[in-house]
Amino acid sequence: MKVNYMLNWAEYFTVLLMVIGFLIAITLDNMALNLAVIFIAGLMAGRLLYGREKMHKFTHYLIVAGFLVGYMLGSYSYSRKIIAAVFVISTILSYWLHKKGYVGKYLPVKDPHKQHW
Amino acid sequence: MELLDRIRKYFAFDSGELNALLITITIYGLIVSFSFDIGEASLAAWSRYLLPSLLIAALAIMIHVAVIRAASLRIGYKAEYKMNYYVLAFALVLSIVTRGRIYFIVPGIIMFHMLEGLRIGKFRYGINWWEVRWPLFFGVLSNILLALLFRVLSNVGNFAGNPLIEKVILVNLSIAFFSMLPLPDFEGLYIYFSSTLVYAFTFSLMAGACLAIYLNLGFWVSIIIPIVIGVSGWLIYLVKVEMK
Repeated sequence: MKVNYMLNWAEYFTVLLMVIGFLIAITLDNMALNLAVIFIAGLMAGRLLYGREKMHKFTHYLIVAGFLVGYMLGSYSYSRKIIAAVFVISTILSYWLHKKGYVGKYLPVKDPHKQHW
Repeated sequence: MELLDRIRKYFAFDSGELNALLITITIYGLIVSFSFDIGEASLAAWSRYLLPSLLIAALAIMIHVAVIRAASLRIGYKAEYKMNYYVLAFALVLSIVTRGRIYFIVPGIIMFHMLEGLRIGKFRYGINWWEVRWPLFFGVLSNILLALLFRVLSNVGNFAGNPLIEKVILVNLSIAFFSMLPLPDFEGLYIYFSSTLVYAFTFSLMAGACLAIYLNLGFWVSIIIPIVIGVSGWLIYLVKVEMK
């Protein structure tokens, strides 16, 4: 079967992030570090979802969910409910901070005719 | 004198840039502090290393950004500093996961603005890859030179084996190496887009310098080996890629 990466990039990224989340989770043997990492990941997820709020919205939700599922699979010896709750709270917090303008959204301008790079 | 005048007029950082620099330095300071061999796992023991770590991160990042800023003013651009949120988060997570053994330190995004008055009459008037690579190259070079200076210091009697000096060297080499990767918003990408041949030379040069300084091969060897590796990288790329 011929694989088309351009058409199925969301699925590949979902699986990739699931594996990364799983690997990160199994290397952490401390609940505090687990929560710190999932909090940071949630902040980044909020930024990613806010930056893509007008295009490919569902695909980015899929990718973020893939990471969370991988992470929860890897953190088998800790409370998965708490991990999921921290992730969701930090994602919403980050999204809200971006929406209110407390955190800047930076999208690089690559147009050579605009004199700002 | 003209450059000094430009620096006096345009060098100052605005509040947004200062905030971005402060947050970047704090996060990288935390990452550097994780990498110290503390012995006992207590907050008090770790906090002893926090201030030196913040100073090390501040020195490396400020030198890098300041050199880029000054060099870009020389050619009539203003380099603005922006935080790279994804890289900061990735660096922090990597540091936590590896317990500070690996640290990935890359300064934020550099955005260039043209100062029209300073570019009047210049060849290639607008902003272009060819011109912006020079400030970025000098920014990376400044970290290599700083690492080399501290490597020389680390071989002098009283400073030999000092863990703080070793950290200064590692942080500067990390900035120099990772900044040169051709990834989105990294400085290596600007050099890569300006010319792939120049990138092959510059990346090999920087990688060779990082290796020579890290392995403590001596002052002159640390200067000669990067040039040899740089020319070899350029030649290999020319023969294997460009001439095919």
